[in-house]
Amino acid sequence: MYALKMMDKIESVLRKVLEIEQDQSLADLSLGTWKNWDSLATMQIVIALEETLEIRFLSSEISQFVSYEDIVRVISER
Amino acid sequence: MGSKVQDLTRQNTTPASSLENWRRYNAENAKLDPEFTVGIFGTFTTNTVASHIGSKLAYLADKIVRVENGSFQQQYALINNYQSEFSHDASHLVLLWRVEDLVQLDLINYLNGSDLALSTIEESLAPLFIGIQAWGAENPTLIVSVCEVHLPESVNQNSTVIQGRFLNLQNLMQSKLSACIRGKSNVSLTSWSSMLRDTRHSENRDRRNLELFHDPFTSETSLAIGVSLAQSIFGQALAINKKVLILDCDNTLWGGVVGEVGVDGIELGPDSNGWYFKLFQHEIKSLKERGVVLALCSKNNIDDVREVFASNKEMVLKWEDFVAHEVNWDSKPSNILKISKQLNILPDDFVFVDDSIFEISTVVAAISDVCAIQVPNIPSEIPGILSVSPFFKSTGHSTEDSNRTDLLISENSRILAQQVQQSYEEFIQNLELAISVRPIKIEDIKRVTQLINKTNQFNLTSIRRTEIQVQKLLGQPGVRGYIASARDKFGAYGSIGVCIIVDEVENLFLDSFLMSCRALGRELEFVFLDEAIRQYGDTFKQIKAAFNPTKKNAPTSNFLIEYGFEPYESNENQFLLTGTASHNRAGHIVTEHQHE
Repeated sequence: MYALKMMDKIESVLRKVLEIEQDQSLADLSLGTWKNWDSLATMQIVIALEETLEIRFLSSEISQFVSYEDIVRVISER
Repeated sequence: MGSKVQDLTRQNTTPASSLENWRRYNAENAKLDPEFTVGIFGTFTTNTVASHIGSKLAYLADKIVRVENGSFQQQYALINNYQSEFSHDASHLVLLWRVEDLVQLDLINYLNGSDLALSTIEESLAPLFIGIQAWGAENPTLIVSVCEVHLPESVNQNSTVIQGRFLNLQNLMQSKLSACIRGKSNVSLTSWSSMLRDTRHSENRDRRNLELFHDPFTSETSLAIGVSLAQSIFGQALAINKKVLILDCDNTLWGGVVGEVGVDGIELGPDSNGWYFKLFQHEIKSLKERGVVLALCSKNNIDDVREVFASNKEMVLKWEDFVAHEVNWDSKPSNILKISKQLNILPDDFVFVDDSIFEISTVVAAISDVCAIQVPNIPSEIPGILSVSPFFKSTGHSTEDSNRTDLLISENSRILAQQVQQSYEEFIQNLELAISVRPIKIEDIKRVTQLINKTNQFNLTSIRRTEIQVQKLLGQPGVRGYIASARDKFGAYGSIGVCIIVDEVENLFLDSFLMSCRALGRELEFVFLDEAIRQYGDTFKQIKAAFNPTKKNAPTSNFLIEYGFEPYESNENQFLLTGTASHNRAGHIVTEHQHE
């Protein structure tokens, strides 16, 4: 249940910051494949995730934020 | 802006929600042309701060706002060539810079004892200072940050010697920047400490963000900087400037009900709650000195209230500070409408302050355009309620502002005189009116801009302009602007009108024509336009005017017809004047020209 809620929050943040419609899948979403995802968007994703999940990422974790799958993995491993 | 009761709760925005608000705002307004553009450039990544500036400005301002980021670390080039960086005509530019971003090694060497490094720092920063010093009056308003927040992490933070050298460097930078901007009305400095004044966090720097994004601040700090800059920009250029502050007495100007506790029983002065009411009176007095007109609207026996003003030595405000005194048992909406009529100012320029939510609700329900502030019932929360409201944010004010109460008091004398005249015509004839019209000079720009932005009822276009935009317009070939001032036997009206005429080769175009409401009803506008056209030149051409109707400026359209303009091209708002005529119809207005 907790994991599901967390997944929803991550998804919600990514959709808002990267302007992704609800009907689009995030499964293959990555830094190179989505036009709105650049380093500034990464910064905004970090700010939004940290506030939403009440956590603080390490530099080494943020450097792995290159796809939706990686973000979920990094957060799950905490 | 419609009826609004000011919520005094501070806007509680988090960094993420501020960024989200700005994204949504941009998406919603993507296809609209911006009405106000701010350009940001810095020695670090300023995108987050820029987004917070945009988010706050969008919340505060009633305009389409755009915030653009200049190229990273192009501050030297940008100072000299800012136009190449920003796609729109920016009204405000913000330069955020830190010494350590520009001369990191020299800074550390200087702090560790090398005086030679200080010379190198000064040499390296010279182009920046020269650029700021050369910032022209025709350029947008520029806000420049001063120095950094903390010592670089690589030096010994606890060394008093290093702290002393750091302070010395900060003072040096501050004095150099202050010298650069001396005499420049369109450049201002802002210190990091003032921008971060309201942050609760002791640590403002974020090493991780600096490493990853070249943004040296925590997300909360970026928000605080953005909000502070937005408030500063808003205050300089976009603030709502209400003209009249209407105040209740009991539990507003003083604590308690004077009718019940008597003049000596009210709370006002150094003891307990009285101190907060006294502070509030000081706040009101300072607004009056900035040109806000004060009026009383209180359900009370007028003798009781007069006695408080006359005999209570703790009163900061004097009876004469108020231009209207509606102290009676009539309804507050009817009293406010009386004040509106007396001052000839529409209620949408009023802010009504009262402790009673009943009175506030009655007023805003009856007069849709009045804004209202409820006085908190905890006295310690009262001081500051006007300065945190968005209604009195203007930072600049003119001589006319300072004299506004006097101007309105002489207007009251006119009204009294009118009441004893046989007719309005006779009253006007006997006013001994005189008008002076002359070309706008550089020192008039502030007042001209103020008139352009504040005049509602008699304003041909109601197009608002910044000082820079006015200056640019008047600097174009074929464009001439005139400012009118007037007086009568009761006193001076001050500067009351602006007329800007553009030569369009085939015809002249009346770009702007506006007159302060306090000068209306005396036919001064007819003589003003006569005189402006005469001074423009002997070669008389047809004059075109494009009336831009708003909710308030219908009197201007009526004036055009009365003056002799006719609609053309089947457009009821396009007017053409083909003949000349003297419009000083009654001959009751002396012009400066006639004086000569």
